[in-house]
Amino acid sequence: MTTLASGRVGIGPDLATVPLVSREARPLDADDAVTALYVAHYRSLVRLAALLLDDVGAAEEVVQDAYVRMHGSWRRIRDPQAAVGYLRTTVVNLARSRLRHRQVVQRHPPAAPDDVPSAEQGALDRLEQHRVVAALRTLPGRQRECLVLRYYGDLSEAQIAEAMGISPGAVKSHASRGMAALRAALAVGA
Amino acid sequence: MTGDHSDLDDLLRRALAAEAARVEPGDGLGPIRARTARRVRSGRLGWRAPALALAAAAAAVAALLAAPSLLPALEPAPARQPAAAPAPGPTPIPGAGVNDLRTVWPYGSRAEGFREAPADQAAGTYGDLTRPDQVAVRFVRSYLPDDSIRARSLGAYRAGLRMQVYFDGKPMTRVYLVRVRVGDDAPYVVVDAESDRISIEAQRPPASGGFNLHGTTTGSSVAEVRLRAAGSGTTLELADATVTEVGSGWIAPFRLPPGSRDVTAAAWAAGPDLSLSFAARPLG
Repeated sequence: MTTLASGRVGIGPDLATVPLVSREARPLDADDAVTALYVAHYRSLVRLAALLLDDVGAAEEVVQDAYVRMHGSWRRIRDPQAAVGYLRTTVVNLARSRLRHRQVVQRHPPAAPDDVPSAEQGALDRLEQHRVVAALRTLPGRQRECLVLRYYGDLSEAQIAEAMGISPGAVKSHASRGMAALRAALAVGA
Repeated sequence: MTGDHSDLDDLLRRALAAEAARVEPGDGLGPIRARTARRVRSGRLGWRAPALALAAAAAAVAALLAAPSLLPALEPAPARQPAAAPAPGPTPIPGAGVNDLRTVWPYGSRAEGFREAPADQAAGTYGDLTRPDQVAVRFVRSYLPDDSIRARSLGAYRAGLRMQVYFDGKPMTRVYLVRVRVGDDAPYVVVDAESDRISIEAQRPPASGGFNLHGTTTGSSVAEVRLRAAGSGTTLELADATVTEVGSGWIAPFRLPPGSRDVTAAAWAAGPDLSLSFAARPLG
């Protein structure tokens, strides 16, 4: 048993190692997969989609679509770890499709920042963060996807390449150009 | 990947984390289940769908019959006395008869719980804090809101009570509770939670600014990590970071705003058998 910061030490038998119900014979079905992966990853996937789409409602629809597709493809996927990659890739693709059709960035310019008391450091931070997000929204779609997956999703180049369906070299290129464009946009707005 | 953009890296990471933290999705599982059920009904599984439903129902009944301890999942905990001796710790809480201790939910310390829990208990803010099963379940659900999360007592440890928490009938974490004062009617608070398959390394975060949180996973390549911190009397949920295993370890970058205190980390992952594992601990 791990000794934790509280310094406590467990006593008695470790009943947690004794399963209440043997599930060994139970196959992993699609409903189980949806439930487990929903609980573990739904919120972060919606947040990822919201960063790509600027629209929470659309982000939720996109992520729900991804789960429904995963459910339908579960017999092919089966592995929960692969399923997370599948969900992420599907979310990126569906978000990209929505952006392509609706041109969200052009139609909906960034909203004004929330009510911010100017004298507080926290408010200054929020203002700066708002500028960064607003600048990010002006980038071309692929560059934006790269930066969101890298800096929000903390994904590696290989994972970003998989999620976006492009080569690692293209990820490098999009990310580099995206950062340069972002820096230029922030310098102009400063 | 971004060359000499380290300052912009940091700014962008913080901005995206803050923007993402403003998004709080509603219930998505209901719509997903409705749509997947429609697909099944529309013939994707053909004649197998009713058979699968019956098999699932039979399995559920068999599971309940085989494990009666699952049935009273939210019933009152067994009348087992927690350890009478106060928890180890250097600072006694005046009037409580116990020593102070960092905790992770719903307060940042046992002393804060001693001060705040009576009012919250009266208001029902966190449910019934004298019921250890409710405390354990509400704590885990505060991160992973799912109705299938249940808990049962594993008995006393030196400082309090240990609870096994289940997701969909499978063990996901062990939650450690202490009472905020002596007495059988004293409210419980959560000290930490541990799992055999995911862990968070003990570390002291900076007062503010960026730091990397480390941990390990077993049998899972993806974990999610979340920090919470108190500041100015309000509990703040700071950031999510999806981390990817390198070997068996994970690293999650976070940035704490000035004034953060009582920082708590929680991490979870879905294993190859679709079970969830969950761990949480105070940092510092």
